[in-house]
Formats: sequence, C-alpha cells, structure tokens
Amino acid sequence: MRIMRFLAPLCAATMMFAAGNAFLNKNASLYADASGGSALGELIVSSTVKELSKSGDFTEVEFTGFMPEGSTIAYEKAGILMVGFEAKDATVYKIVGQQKDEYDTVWLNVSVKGFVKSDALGSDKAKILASGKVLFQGKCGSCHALHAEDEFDANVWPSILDAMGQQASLSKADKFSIVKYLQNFKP
Amino acid sequence: MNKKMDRRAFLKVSGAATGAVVATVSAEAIPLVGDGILNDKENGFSASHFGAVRTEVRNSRMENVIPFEGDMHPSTLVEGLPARTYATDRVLYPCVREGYLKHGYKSDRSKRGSDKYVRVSWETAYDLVAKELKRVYKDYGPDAVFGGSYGWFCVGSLNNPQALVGRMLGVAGGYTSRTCTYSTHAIRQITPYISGTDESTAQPTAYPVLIENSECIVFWGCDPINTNQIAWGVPDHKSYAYMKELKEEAKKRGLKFYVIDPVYNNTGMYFGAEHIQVRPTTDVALMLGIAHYLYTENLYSKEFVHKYTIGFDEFKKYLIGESEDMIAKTPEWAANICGIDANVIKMLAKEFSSKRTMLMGGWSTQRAHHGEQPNWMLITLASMIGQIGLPGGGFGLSYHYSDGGVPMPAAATGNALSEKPLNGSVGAVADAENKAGSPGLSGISVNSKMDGPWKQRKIEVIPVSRIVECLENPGKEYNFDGKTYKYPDLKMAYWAGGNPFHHHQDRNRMVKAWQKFETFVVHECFWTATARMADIVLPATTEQERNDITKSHSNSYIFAMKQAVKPAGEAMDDFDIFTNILRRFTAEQVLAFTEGKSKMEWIKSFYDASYTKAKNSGISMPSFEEFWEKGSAHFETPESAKKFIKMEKFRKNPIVNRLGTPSGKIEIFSKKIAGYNYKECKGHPMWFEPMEWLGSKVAKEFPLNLITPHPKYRLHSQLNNTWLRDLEEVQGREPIWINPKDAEKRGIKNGDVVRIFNKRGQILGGAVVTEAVMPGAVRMQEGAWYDPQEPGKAGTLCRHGDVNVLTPDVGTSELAQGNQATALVEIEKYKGELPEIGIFKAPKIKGV
Repeated sequence: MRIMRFLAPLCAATMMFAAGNAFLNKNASLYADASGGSALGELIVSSTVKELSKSGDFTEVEFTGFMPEGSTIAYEKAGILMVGFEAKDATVYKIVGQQKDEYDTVWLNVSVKGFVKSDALGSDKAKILASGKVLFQGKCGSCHALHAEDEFDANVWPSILDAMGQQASLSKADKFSIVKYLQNFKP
Repeated sequence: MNKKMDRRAFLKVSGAATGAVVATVSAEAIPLVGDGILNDKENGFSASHFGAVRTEVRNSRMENVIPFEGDMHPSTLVEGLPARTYATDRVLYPCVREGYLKHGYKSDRSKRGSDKYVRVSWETAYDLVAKELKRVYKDYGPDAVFGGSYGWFCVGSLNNPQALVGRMLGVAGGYTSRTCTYSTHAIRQITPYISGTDESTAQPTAYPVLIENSECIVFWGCDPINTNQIAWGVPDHKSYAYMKELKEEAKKRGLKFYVIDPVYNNTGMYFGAEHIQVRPTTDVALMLGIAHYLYTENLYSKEFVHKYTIGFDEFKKYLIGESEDMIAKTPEWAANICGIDANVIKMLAKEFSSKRTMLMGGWSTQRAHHGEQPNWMLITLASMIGQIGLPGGGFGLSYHYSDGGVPMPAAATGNALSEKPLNGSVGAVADAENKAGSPGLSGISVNSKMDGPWKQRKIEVIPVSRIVECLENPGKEYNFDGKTYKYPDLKMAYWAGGNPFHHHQDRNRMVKAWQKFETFVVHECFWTATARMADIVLPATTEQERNDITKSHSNSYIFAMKQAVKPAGEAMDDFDIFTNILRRFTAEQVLAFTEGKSKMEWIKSFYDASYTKAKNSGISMPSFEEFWEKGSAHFETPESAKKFIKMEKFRKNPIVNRLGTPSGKIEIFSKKIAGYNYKECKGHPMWFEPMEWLGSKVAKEFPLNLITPHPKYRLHSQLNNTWLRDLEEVQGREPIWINPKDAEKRGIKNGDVVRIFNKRGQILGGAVVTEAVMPGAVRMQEGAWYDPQEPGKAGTLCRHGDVNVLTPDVGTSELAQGNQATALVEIEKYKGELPEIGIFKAPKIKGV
C-alpha cells in the first residue's frame, strides 16, 4: 500500500505530463533537484519546455535549444538570439546534434533537464507574450515614438533593449519580457 | 480611482474649459504693491531640456530661474525659460485660418502662411478638430491622418505631446506614424547590420575609463561641449565635469586630441585639439586613405579583424583597388578628395594605430548623401585599429548626445521573481554589473491600457524624413531597409510639440507639398513657422505653466515640475486639449485616453511605480509628498558603471556575447545589405560621390559647401524667440561663418548681411569672417526660424536665415532614406534695403 501511495501520484503526474509542453511565464531558476538549492541556470520567459514530472512545488522539465559551440547560452532557434536558457556552465547541457551556419559557426543542438518552480510555468504562450506587449507599449513609447515591432531584426532587439534599458531602467525580467514579445512578433 | 465616467460627469467636465480667464501676456495687469519684489514665498521647482531649475516668481511672473544645485555645469540656455514664457509671440487663443473657418477642408490651401487668423472659442476649436477627424476617418480611413508629430517638444512624463497625440489619435480612429529620427536616420538604419545594434543609442565607454587609459581622442564630426548643453531627458551636465577632468589628465599624460571637421569647434578649442580640416561629406574617403595605409604598412590588427569581424577580404579588394572601381584608396587618392595632405593622412594612421585611440564619431557625417557609409567605415577603421573593447580605445558614436559617456545608475533590478540571488545580483545567471541604481521613471504611453478597438489598430509608418516625398507621391512604392513599401495618401496632419517648418529640408518644396494636406492642426506655445502654416492652432502651456514629473537623462534624479505661473492667455495643457477633443467622440474613448486618472493622479502614479520598483531593489526613495515638496530625488551611480567599456564582453568572449548581426561578429561585409542590390549602399563601406560636394559639377555654380551644425544658443529652433539670439545674431540674422579668403573674393566683410542661395532657395544671414571654418566651407547653424518675406510663397527670401531653405530633400540611399544637412551654395553681399524680421511677433488676429 505504501508503495502504491507513493507510485500512484507519480504515475498520475507522469501521465499528466507525458507529452505536455509548457512555457515559462517568467525567468526562473532551473535546479538539479526538486528541493531548490544550487541552480543549473536560468530559464527565460516564454521559452518552451517539455514537462516530465511533478514533485511538490516543482516540475521537472527539459529545455531543448541551440547554442554556438563554446557558449553557455542556449537559444530557442539556431542563429536567432532568442535566449531559452542561460547556464552557469556548459557542462549542464547534453549535446544531441549539431549544424553549421553560412558563417561557419557550429550550432550545437542541446538539451538540459532540471526542476523549476511550477508557478513559473504557463500553458498559454500568447498570454505570456501579451504581458511583454503591455510592458513594451508602457515603457518604450513614453520618451520617444513607439517603434514598430518588426522595425529591428530579432537579433538586434536584445542590444537595443540593453542600451535603452539604461534609460528606461529596465530590469532583466522587464528586458526579456519585452524582447521575447518583439522576437516572437508576426505582422 | 474612479475609472467609470457617467454621462452627466462626462458633459460636466466637457464644459469646464469654457469661460477660462482671458489674459494676454503683455497686457496682464500687475499689482504694484503686495505680490511684488520682496515676498516670502519659496521658490518652485521645474525642469527642461536645458537643465532643472528653481523658479523664482515675483509680481505673479516667473521672472528668474536658478539652476538646480545638482547641475554640474548649468547652461545659459535656462535663461530662455522665463524669457520664452513672456515672449511676444505666444499663442494666446485658439485660432483658425480665415479661409479654413469659412470653407473648412475645401479652403484655398495656397493661402496658408498669408491668410489672417481668427480667434475662436475653445469649444469651436474642439468641434472643428473632432468633426474633421471624423470626416477624414470616414472618407479615407485612419492612414490618411498623419500623427507622426516629430520634434523635441518638452520634458515631462505626462504632458508629452507626441505620446499624447498618438494616444488621442489611436483612440479616436488611428493614424499614420513615422520611424527613425532626423538626428540619427542613417546611423540607426545601418549600424544594426554592422555591429548588431543601433549605435546612436548604444552606450559608449564611460569617461573615467577614457580619463585613465586613452592616449588619443578624436572628435570626428562632433562637438560635445556645444551639444551636451541639452539632453533628451533633463541634463545634469555631468559630462562637463568629466571633460574638465579629462583635460587635466591630458596635461599630465600628454593626451593628444584631434578634431576632424570643416570647422574648429568649441570642443576642439577647449582641448587644444589639432584641427584636421576635412572637406564636408568626404570623411569616408579620408577613412579609406587611413585604412589603406594601415593595410599596406601592416599596421592593422590582423588578430582583431580575424577573430571579431567578417568580410574583411571583400572590403580589402575594394581598398587596394581589386574590385568595383579598381582604384587603390591610397592616402594620395584620399587627399585629392578630402583635401587633407597625404602625409597628414599617414600620420593619423600611425597615431591611431600606435596610441590607445578613442574615435568619437558624431552624427553630422551621417546627415549627408550616402550617410550610411561614414559610420560603417568608422567601425571598419576601428576594427582595423583593433582596440574595440579595450579600455580607452575603439569607437563611440554618442559622446556628443545627452551627456553620453557619463556613467549612469544602472537599472534597478527589481527582479523579485528570481528567488535566489547569485553572483551578488539577482537571477540564476546574474549580471554582477547590473546592480541596482535607479528605478527610472515611466511616462504616459502612446497606447491606452483600456480595452477597446484601439488595441487592435495597426499603425502604419513612413521614414520620418520622407514626409514631403510621401505627400508628393501617394501610393508610390519606395525601398527602405531591404523592403518595399507604399506611401499612404495623407489628407490631414496633427502636430503637437514639433516644428517641421524648421527641421525638414528644402523648405520651398515643402511649402508646396504641404498644400496636399486638407487640414493641418497644430498645438503650439509660440507662433512658429509651423503654427503660421496651420489651419487650426491650439495654444499649449509651457513646461513651467503646468505640473508634471520628469527625470534627468542620466537617471541620477527624478524631478518635480511644479506649475510656477498660470498659463498665458487661454493656453491649455496638451492632456486637456486631447481629452476635450475626445469628448466629441464617446465617453468610452475619453476614458480610454485618461484611464480615469486626473493629471495629478497620473503624475503620482509614475512616481509610485518608481517607488515600488526602488523598494523591491533596496533603493530608498522619499514619499511622493516629501519628493514633491523638495523637488528632486537622487540616485547614486554604482562604481561598476564607472568602469563600463563598450564591447568589452564581446572582446572577452565573442561566442557567449555574440553581436546581433547575422554572423554574430562585426560585419565589414554584410551579405544582407549586398543582397538588397541597392545602387548606393553595397555590401561593404564605400566612397560614393555625394550629389553635392566641393568636387562635384554643381560646385562650379555654387562653390561653397554649407554645413549646418547644432546651435549654441538654442535647442534646434527652441528658444530662438528669446533674447538669447542677441548673443550671436548679426544685424538680426543667423550668423554664417565664412573663411577670410572666401569672404575677400566676394567683397564680404565681418558683420555684413549676405544672401545665401542655390537652386532651391535663398536666405539672409549675417557674415562672421573667421578662420575657424576652412576655405570652401561655410557654417550656419540649423534652427533659425524660417521668416519668409512672402509667407506661403515658394521661392521667397527667408529674411532670418533658415538653412533648410537650402538643403536638399533627397534620401541618403534606399537603405536608410535619411535626411541631409549639407548643400552647395553661393553667397553675395546683400545690397537691398534690409527687410524687417517678422517671425518673432505674433500675427494680427481677428477678434482679439
């Protein structure tokens, strides 16, 4: 019975999360185990993760992305600076493949598994991006004319936000929220 | 907070503007006793683009301002604040052009500028504006209304006329807006392809690093000592304190300064810089000459070029004459174009490559035909020098702007979402340098937060400086930044906080093109050239006539802007004007605009948002009440900000810190740009002959190259209607600097009034004969108010000296479509009877 009591929720959780994708609704630390402690790195808002299991307040997730060889930052797409996961060091990644771009940069296809606080996950990506839109419109159109979302390339927006973030006093969370909205924008 | 507004309240507020106290600036009765010279009132507090001030009100007037004690080097420009408040050209009443009042949008638009104005009540004015907006929306759709109002307006988080005009039009039905700026059109379009960011806003290396490490500083087409008087936010002029320190250090360490410019400017003078007289718009040729020498003499950094850039090989072929024009860009080749001796060009190459050199590039070089090239080439040159990312070396393209280079309190992290602080900061992979400093300050957004159809509106844009081309060619396709767009068919323009009849080029062409607008509405404090071309002119309050809140550009302060005096005449705050227009629409639209907040509630909400953010980041801030009483809240700059080195991280690890270019590196060759197949912007930086320069055919007829830098006693055109102009005008005309040799040839003496002309137009100016400007070039500041002898008539003489009568309105190239600020001209002594200046007096108005 004790085993059953232990296994039942686990099975239920496994079944519940078997094929589920979720999205980060905020930047959140990814931990090696379900008790917090030392973080492997930080998952970035709106990134897609695969839900593997649930444990208390934590959900075990897997992020799969692309990273230029030698980096510690994995992006959601190859060649696009859409940050998915910032690792403390590159050893946390499992390399599952690689490809070369037209500039001879080797992009590793990487994955990382760990535990994230369950309240950092959401199911509606559009809703998560919409909060970035509110920030974009609120923060970026009060000193100067609001830029069109597609005015800069997806790779250029991060550095624009870095520069203007100084002026607008944007926190890291604000910056990523706005950047992800802009990078995901489709006219 | 009451976000609901019932019908009764809606109508009640609607009528509030009627019966406003009528007063004129000059005729207001002043009590001779009582509220006089000696009173016990404390000084108020306000702020501006020129600095923060304490306002001294005597005799019911703001008679004086005292610079804020935290201002490190107050500018004389603040003196213009009281002066302009009582300028004789204040717009005191809502006015409508006589023909427009009679015939509405069917009026004779060629009468703009010459028609009389008629004073109307605010109610009539609001009705006219609302009715016309509804007509244009109904007949032509939202894109027909141009609301991309451009200009420097004022400071203030609430009364930001540009945000408000977009907000009002967005709620009312939509509009066409604009992209880019007249200041940075080309640099911000090209540099994202080159270094992955907009270099006009990218932070340059902080001054303390330059003071400690630089050995050579080059002011390339910039004049920071002049232009840092003003800031987009409120300047606290810290750059002046740093520049003083830099000069002191230069004496000790033997720093070398160069000013590469057709003019020996204030900055060159202050630092005792060596003047390299470059012919206007030939900087790219000079840079190529330097690059060629660096390459052939093996003085360039192969390591840097290899590790941090791509495309050098393609560029090299062009440089040494193995591609395109097959001409080697030797120093001798360059000398022939830019007018600098080849030995000097070689000397510069040796200097830059042997000393820790900071290339401070201005934006003047990109406000020229093919203005995309100078910044691209400067970054290429800096790459060859190889000091990018090293302390005190590399390049910076914003030292001249808004205290650029001053360490700023970094953003307050305020990241309560990341649970565990690591590396001394917040977030799992924390940026140790991003320590809490200032919470910043928000302002009113151009978009309403309230739900409604306005949330779904798509706002079309045009490149800001293509407005006249757009008016002339509705529906025409044009290329811009790799894509093809179509110009909208504009029928109405709404301007608030800008002066297009100052900042746009080729005034005579513009006067004609503007007739395409069936209706032109302007909010103004003063009878500017733009206000005089409007059909409906609505009087706006100045910054010192209303309450608001703002921050210093450096983020070191938040400032209270307390109303010092009551508005002149019937002037109203922009916020109220727009609210009242929307009252002619629906209650829901009014609510969407105001979000149910009063002006003071808005002001407090901006402060409270900063307060909360500061609190979450462990920064202390006074309560709103304490802050408002005191006038300012101060934020310390963390030590880490003082060590900032541009692209240091990229240099340390170019993989982790990839740039935003397709390759992640500096792109000396851009596949993307090459792929656009543009005639005048290719895959790598190149020398293109500008349409007008000293080496062109046009120079035979118009042999002087006019350059139009930023003014010393104005912010563009702002403050020109104050006594500050007396500090430099010549016989009431904008000064034009001319070299003694050029003056002598034309029989022009210092102090003469001269006529400056080309095929585009003619203006008067006051000659200043000086060796500070090189032979062949003449210098006249932009921003002198356009004062047409026959208003509204294309080709007429500008009596005062608006340089944009003479500059061409031709895009830099298909890439940026930017504006130009130079032109070829001829000059002659003006022999006729001197016409009286008319622009600084309010026009006669019927019904006053």
